[in-house]
Amino acid sequence: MALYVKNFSAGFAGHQILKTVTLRFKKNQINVIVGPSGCGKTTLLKSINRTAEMEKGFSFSGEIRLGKENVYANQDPSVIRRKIGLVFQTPVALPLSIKENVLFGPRYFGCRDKPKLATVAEHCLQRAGLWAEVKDKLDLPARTLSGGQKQRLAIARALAAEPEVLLLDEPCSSLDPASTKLIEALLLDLAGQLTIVLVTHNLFQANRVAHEVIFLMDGQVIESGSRDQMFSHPEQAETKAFFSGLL
Amino acid sequence: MNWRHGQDRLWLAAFWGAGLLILLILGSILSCLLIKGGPALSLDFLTTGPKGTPLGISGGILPCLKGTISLMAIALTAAAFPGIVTAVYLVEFGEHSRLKNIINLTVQCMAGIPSIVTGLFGYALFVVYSGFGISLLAGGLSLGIMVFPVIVVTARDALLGVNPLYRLTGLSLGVSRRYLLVRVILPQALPGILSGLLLAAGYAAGATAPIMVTAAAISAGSSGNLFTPVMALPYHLYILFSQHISLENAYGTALVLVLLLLLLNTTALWLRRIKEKGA
Repeated sequence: MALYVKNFSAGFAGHQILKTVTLRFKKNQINVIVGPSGCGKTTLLKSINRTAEMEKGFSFSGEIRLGKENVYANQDPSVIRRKIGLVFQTPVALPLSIKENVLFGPRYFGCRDKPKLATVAEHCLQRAGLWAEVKDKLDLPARTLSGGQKQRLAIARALAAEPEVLLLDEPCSSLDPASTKLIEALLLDLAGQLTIVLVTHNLFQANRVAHEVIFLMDGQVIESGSRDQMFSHPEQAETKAFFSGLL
Repeated sequence: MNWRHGQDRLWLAAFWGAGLLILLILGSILSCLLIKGGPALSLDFLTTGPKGTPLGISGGILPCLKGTISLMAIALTAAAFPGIVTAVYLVEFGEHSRLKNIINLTVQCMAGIPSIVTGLFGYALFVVYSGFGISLLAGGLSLGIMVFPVIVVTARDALLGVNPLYRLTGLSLGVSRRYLLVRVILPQALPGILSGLLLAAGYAAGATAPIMVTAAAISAGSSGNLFTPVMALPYHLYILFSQHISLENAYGTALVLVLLLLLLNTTALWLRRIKEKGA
C-alpha cells in the first residue's frame, strides 16, 4: 500500500520538529530517508505509525494517508499500528521465548489454533532469515540471541502482525557488518511484498538498498527521487553537500 | 594529582564508614536481643500461650504470633489489590492525566500520616461506625490503610523499573495496553511487586499504635475469629515491658518479632535479586 504524507507538521511541547512535510512513499519499494542527526527522521516514522502520540506533548497538523485511509482518523491508534509496523534502532527482545516474541501480535489478534500459530512462527522467522538459526531453540528466552538476531526477530515479530508498511529506524546502527548484510538482504527480499521505509545514517547502506531516497533536513524535505537520481544528479545544493559529506 | 587521590580515598573511607555504621547499629540491636532474649527462646516459648499471674510472666507467645500473622494477612488482603491497581494506573494508564498528580500527592500524604492517627481513624471507621468492635478485622483493615501507600510506591517503582522499550515495542505492534500489561509488564514487575508486599507485611507486623486502639488485647485466644480481639507480638512486648511483667520474655518476644521481620525482608531482597538477574 502506498503511503502519503501531506503538509504534515509535528512537534513536542511546542517545539516544532517536522515542518509541512509532503511526501509519497512508493508501494512495495524500499524508501530510504537520510538526513543529518536531529532532522526529524525518527519523529516522522513515529508519527506515521502513531507511536509519537505516546510521548508527552505531541502535537501535529496535516495528514498522513495509507492508501485512502487517514492514519489519524481512527480514535484507536492500535488499528493503524498493526498495519504499519515499526522496528526500532535498539534491538528489543520481549522477555518471552523466541517463538512467543513472534506470536505476540497474532495471539492478540485472535489466533488460537496451535498448528496455525506454529506455521505463522516458522513462516515469519523464515521471512526474517532467522529460522535456520533458531528452529531448534524456539522455546529459549529471546534474550539469549545476539544483537543481529534480535533485530531480525524484531522484524519477524513485526511481520507476524501482517503489516502493509514496515518502518525501520536505523535498524543496523548497533550491528556488526555481517548482521547488517543479512538485514539488508532481508529488506531487499521483503520489498515487492510490502512498502518499506528505512531511516539510515549510512549513505553506503542507502546506496545498496534504496529504490527511492528522501533527503530530510531541519524537519523539511529538501529533495526526493530515485536512488540513481539522488546519488548521481542531486539538484539541491544541500543534497549535494550532504551526499559529499560536507553537511 | 596526589591531592585528588587523597580526596578520593577520603570519600571512599566515608562511604565505607557509613556502611559499617549501619551494620554496627543492626549488629548491636541483634546482639542485644540475642543476649537478653535468647535464653527465653525455646520450642515451648513458640508453641504455648502466655501463663502465670500477671499473664506473661511465664509461658510462650503462640497466640501473639498467630495474631500478628493474621493481622498481616488481613492487612495485605485488603491493601494489595487496590495498591497494585493504583500503581498500574499511575504508570500505565494515567501518563498524561491530572488525576495521576492528585493520586501521587494523596499517596505521599497517606505515607506521612502518623500510625496512631491511622489507628484512631480505624477505631472510628471500623470499630465504632462499622460495628466490628475491637477485633482482628478492625485491626487488620487499619493496618491495611497504613501499608497501602507502601504497596503503591513499591509497585509503582517495580513497574517503572520495567524496560520502557518493552512498552514502545509492544504497543507499536498494535496490541492493547491491557494485553501488554498482562503478558509482559506485570510478569516483569512481579518480583518487585511481591518484594514490596513483603516489606509492607513487615511494616504491618511491627506496627503497634494502630492495633492498640483497634484490635489488640492483653489476653485473647487464637480462635481466628475476625470479630474478636487478638494478641499481637508488638503489643504483647509493650505490655510485658511497660508493666514490668517479664523483661526476659519481653526481649524474647522482641527477638521473635525482629527475626520475623528479617525473614520477610530477606525474602523481599531475594525476590529483588531474581528480578535483577532476569532483567
